[in-house]
Amino acid sequence: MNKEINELKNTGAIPVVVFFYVVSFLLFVGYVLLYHFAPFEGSFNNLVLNSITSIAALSAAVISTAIFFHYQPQDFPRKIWKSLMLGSWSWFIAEVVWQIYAFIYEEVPVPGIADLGWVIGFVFFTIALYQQYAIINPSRVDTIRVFAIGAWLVVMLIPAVILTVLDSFSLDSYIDFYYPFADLFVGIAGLALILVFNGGALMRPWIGLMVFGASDLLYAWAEKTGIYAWSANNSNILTIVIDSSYLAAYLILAIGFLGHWILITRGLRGNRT
Amino acid sequence: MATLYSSVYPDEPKISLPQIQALIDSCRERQLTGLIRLAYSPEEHLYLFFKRGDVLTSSYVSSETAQVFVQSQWQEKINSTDYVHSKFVPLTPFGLFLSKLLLQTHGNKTSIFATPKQLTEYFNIKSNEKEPSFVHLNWVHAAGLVFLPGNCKDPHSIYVSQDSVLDQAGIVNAVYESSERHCSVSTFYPDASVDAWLEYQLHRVFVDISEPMLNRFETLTGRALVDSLVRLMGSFTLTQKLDISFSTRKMTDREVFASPQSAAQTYRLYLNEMFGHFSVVIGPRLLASTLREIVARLPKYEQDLIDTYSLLPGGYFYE
Repeated sequence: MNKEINELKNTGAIPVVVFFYVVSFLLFVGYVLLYHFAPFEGSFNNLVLNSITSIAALSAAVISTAIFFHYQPQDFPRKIWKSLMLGSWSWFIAEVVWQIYAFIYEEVPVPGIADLGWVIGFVFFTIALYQQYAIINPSRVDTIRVFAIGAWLVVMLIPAVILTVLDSFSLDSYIDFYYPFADLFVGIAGLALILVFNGGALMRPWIGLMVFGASDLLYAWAEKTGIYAWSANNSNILTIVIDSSYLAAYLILAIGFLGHWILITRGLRGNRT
Repeated sequence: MATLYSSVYPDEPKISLPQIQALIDSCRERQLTGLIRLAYSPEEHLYLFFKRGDVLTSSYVSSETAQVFVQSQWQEKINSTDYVHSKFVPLTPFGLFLSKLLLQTHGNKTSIFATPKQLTEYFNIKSNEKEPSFVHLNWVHAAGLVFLPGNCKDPHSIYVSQDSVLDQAGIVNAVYESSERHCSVSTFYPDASVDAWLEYQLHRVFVDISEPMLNRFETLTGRALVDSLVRLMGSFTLTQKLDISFSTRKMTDREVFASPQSAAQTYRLYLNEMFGHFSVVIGPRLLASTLREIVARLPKYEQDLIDTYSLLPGGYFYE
């Protein structure tokens, strides 16, 4: 395990990584301060906050694109990174669209174009997870495919069943319910990959997905129980925690991607003592 | 006792003790790989095996016995006579290994082949067998050795005559083109009581573990990291003075060892280094499960060798 930790330390000592850590930290701190003190007028403050989130999403998309193009066409991981890249760009576009809607109309329609981006993003991330599992267990590809499709059906069906039972089915409430389950699925699959790659550099790209799962679940729980609205109205710290964890998830995703980029561009290091 | 280099040809000189020492020193200085054969009588020989200039091992062969000599023994034997027929035979590392294998092997079935066609057919049959084998060929004025790894893999051969020593991958044409009509053919199969065979089996296990591990690593990480691993392992083999290398999907092991224990130790060291790099990328857990999967697919005798010689590095790699 020491070798793995040393490898992480080595990666962390690279100037571009240090720079990215610093920028990420500043973005995060800036976000929290802007959120708490709201120094700008109403919608402009939200625009700045949402822009920070979009920048974080953009960084993940750009790094994943660089990784995709770094791999040779015959490399198996290229398929995974194609899906991760498309998923990241879908989420970035969704963030930007949502931000524009929020700035112009203040209220964002649900479902809207932004939701389309997030849903497509989930599809690509699921494909990436499937491809990663398929590479790890080539003898069980069929089982993994059935499991991935089954999990998606369950994720789509559960909200519909719950809302139908509660007799409150509508498209916007379905979308609201859909996200936490999709996050849960992606989060658990990401967590399982982290456990599989336990200590290895290949676990880094998946950490962000797991954090997204945790962050969105937290939001969904707070939103459905009314705690989020109460916290927002009373300037409670919980809202900051929930919303900043969403930003943190993007930043962690991007940092994980950056770690992988460094690994494949610099290669293995000899000084592992 | 089967040997390739026992014949003392008329032009072979007898050299003095200081000249023998000079020959040994010359092999050391020029870092040669091959063997020195000292013929004390038609049936009594001393062989010194050189690997890149170092005496790897020594064998004393007489009509009754063949035994490994430690340094003090072969020095004593050399010092015991003033003049002796001697010659240096340059060999490839695998040729050296085959020469060692032949010296250690005993018990065989011999048959007489009359035509090159019979030899060709025989080699084809042996190549298609799963089990490795090697064939010792004896003509009146020449001798040869053909190693057939089995499973249709490429053979390796040595041909020795008064004029030349040919040692190369494939089957040398001279084997088929001998002017002598009758060839005595002896075939040998793996024998667990023979150290050289165990060394070869360990080499097979090493390759059978390394190649699928490399393939899995490439599948998981892509070509760039494999190239980076190739570079790192290249510098490792350089510092360890090993002649083991690999390209993307193929392991090339040209090492020859003094004993199976020495082979196992080197392979363990190499695998430990390689797995260390794997582990950094794919994590120890996936590494262990992949390794278990690969080992489970190996034949039982290879699995037994892994256990007997503790071939796989300990700790978290394999339980």
